[in-house]
Amino acid sequence: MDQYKQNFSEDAMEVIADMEKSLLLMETCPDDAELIQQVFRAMHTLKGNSSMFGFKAITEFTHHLESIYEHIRSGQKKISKEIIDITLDSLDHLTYLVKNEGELDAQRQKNHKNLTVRVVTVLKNILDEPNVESNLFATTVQTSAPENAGLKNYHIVFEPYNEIFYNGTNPVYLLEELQTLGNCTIIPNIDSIPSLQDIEPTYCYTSWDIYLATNVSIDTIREVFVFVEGRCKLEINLLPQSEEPLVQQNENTDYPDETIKDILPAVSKTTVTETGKKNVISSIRVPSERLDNLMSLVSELMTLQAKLGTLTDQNPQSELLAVTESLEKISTRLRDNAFSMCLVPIKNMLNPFNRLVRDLANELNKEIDFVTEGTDTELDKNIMEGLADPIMHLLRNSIDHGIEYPDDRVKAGKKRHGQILFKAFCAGVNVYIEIQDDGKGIDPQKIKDKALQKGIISKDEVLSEKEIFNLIFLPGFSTAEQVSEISGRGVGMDVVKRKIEDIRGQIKITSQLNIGTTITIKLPITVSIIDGLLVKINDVSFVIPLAAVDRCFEAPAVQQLNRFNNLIILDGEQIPFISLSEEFDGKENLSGSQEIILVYYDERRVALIVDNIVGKFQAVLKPLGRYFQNMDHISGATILGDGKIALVLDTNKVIEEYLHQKRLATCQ
Amino acid sequence: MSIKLQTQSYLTFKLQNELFAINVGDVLEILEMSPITNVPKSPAFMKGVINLRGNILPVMDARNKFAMPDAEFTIDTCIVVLNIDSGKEPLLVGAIVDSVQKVIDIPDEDIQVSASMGAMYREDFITGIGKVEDNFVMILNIDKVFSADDVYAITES
Repeated sequence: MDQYKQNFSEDAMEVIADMEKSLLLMETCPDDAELIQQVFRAMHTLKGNSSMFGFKAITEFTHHLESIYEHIRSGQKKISKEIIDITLDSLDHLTYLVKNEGELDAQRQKNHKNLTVRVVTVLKNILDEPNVESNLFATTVQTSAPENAGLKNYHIVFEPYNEIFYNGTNPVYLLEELQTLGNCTIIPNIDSIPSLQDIEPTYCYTSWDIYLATNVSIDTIREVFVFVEGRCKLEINLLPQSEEPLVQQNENTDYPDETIKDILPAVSKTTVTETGKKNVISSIRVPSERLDNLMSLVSELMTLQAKLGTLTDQNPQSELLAVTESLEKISTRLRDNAFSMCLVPIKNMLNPFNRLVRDLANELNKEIDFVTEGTDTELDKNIMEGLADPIMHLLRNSIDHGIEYPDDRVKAGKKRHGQILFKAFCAGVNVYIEIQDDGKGIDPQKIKDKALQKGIISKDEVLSEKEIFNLIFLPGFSTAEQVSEISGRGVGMDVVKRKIEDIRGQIKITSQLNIGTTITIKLPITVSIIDGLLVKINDVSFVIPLAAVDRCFEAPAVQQLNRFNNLIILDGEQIPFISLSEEFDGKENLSGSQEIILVYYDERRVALIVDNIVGKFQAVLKPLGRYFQNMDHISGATILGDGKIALVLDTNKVIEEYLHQKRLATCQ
Repeated sequence: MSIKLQTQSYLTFKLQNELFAINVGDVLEILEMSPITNVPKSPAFMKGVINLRGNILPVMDARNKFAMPDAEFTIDTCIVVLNIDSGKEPLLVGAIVDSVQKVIDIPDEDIQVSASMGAMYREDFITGIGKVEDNFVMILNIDKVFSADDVYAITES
């Protein structure tokens, strides 16, 4: 049963997320019938599912909400901001309920009551409005009795399949729900129950004939059965109008079956047989753990493939060559496929952002449009997971510090509405995410003053504009003069930067005063494979990520080393250099040739000296594990074709550490 | 996941003439010495990493853990792959030992609580002293000896 509960809560969270999305859209186009329909249907699903699993609190709560939307759907009530606000709050509450399986602590209990009261008040207001038609009561409020006028009689045959209990469905709940729709006579049919010795106790053998007098449409009745679709035989027939409703005179009697059967052929038949309907499954849900497993297996296969390649090169037999070649083709395709499985479109993560902008803008009395672009761009799900928090923080910053108050905007000659543009696009092997706001921008002078004040820079330091903006990412720096409740939650931009770096991304900020700020995040498409240069340092293999490499130089250039302040002249430019063999092993490799790799370090370039460059290598990145957890200069290891291990260098960190040590040394 | 099979069988090994024992439930396999890729700037007792069938296995020198001097690797030197219970996900680590002896049974009643070891070893490293024939073996608490958090603490300082 626990597994079903798990399924329920997963489904419910999805349904709630969908609702949230529709609601936010609804705010911009409140008259979209399709959206209202979606929200209503989602609520109905949630209500039905929760009642099936016995989460009474959720069911009751959703029922009230659903009633409101029933009115909106039928056009009795227009959607208003008040309703959307209440619904969004309710969704938050429902999320909590679902997560905690309906258990509430004291604080939440109060919240629950308050919300229920709010929802019921809204519902009451709707009902009290004079233009409400009387037949409305029948459909939405359980207690009011239906009037006879306009009643239609339905004959419903509900024949669940034997295995219906296996899904956790209790047919009796469905019947109870039917009873709320109108006057109802239910006749169970127990003919198919086998004799005791043949009975399978987990099967359902009962079917029902139901006569229902109601004024709701056939679709509403069908909706009751929406969760057992495909798991039962269901016929709903409209019986011809008679003077008196059939059902009422026949209450509590065994209904003369023949009478109905006689009438049946004459009626307009709207039989729905769900049996023949084939469900084609176009997508399935897979636990992400299994995907991760698949990925690591594929990575191992790639390593093995490389090994086979080396072996084949050593023993070039024509048959072996052919096998290796075709195996390589297949495994490459397998790898690409497996990778694409882990890619998720960015739009999947946007919901909470939409919500955040809306709520925060309301709270701060700002008017902000959140515009998204390129949301079909795909990203590895692991990267996506690491991205949510930093982006939340960046958006909060934009809303709190970036966008001005409407009046101030008008004064500055801008549109009243601020805009935050969330843009994602793919370029080369990277995905870029840009967050642009058209707010007041950042004053470089202010940053500089602040950095001076905090002792991050010294007075006579000359910084380019870019370097000034980069100061924001330093620990202990926060531009907000007063730490506000919204963005000053103890998480600074340094944490944002670190989190982005954790998923091997880079972050950049540009800003123009009074025009706006743009934050660009550059991300790799996947975390597990990188293109790199395979190099040797003291006979140990290392991989330097190609993304960081500018160019490589031949050995003779090394002659022009300036050992005094470690500068090298390349193409007429002075470039600081680090000898990696010296850095890693404390000894200079003076024998043999050396080669130089020019890598980017922020805006500057630094030369790394290695013993030799072996070539380009596609590395399957594996973590070194917890035993090496603070070895920042190594981002992981990869296994070479011959089974040996090469360590993957994080050049930024290598250089940073080098500089740090240098600084310590000069201080002493 | 991390429920380990604890039996009364122990794998004994030598470090500088001292006999140590590890519960076989903690031992995954014993590997021959193979080339180890050193990780630059890592603490001295972290010997590096090896390729264990496509996975990266960190390797430690058990000698360093007991403040014994480094020794030349011989034909007897082995890497014992251990399953460490870190309280979180299961961790694998390789421990370099001078030589692996044999698997012996030590009934629980033959294991004494470790008396004060003086300043020689950290007390929490040893779960007890087992009596085998006329010899004593020190039974190691490998979760403590090869704990990853320890590495972290040492390198931090």
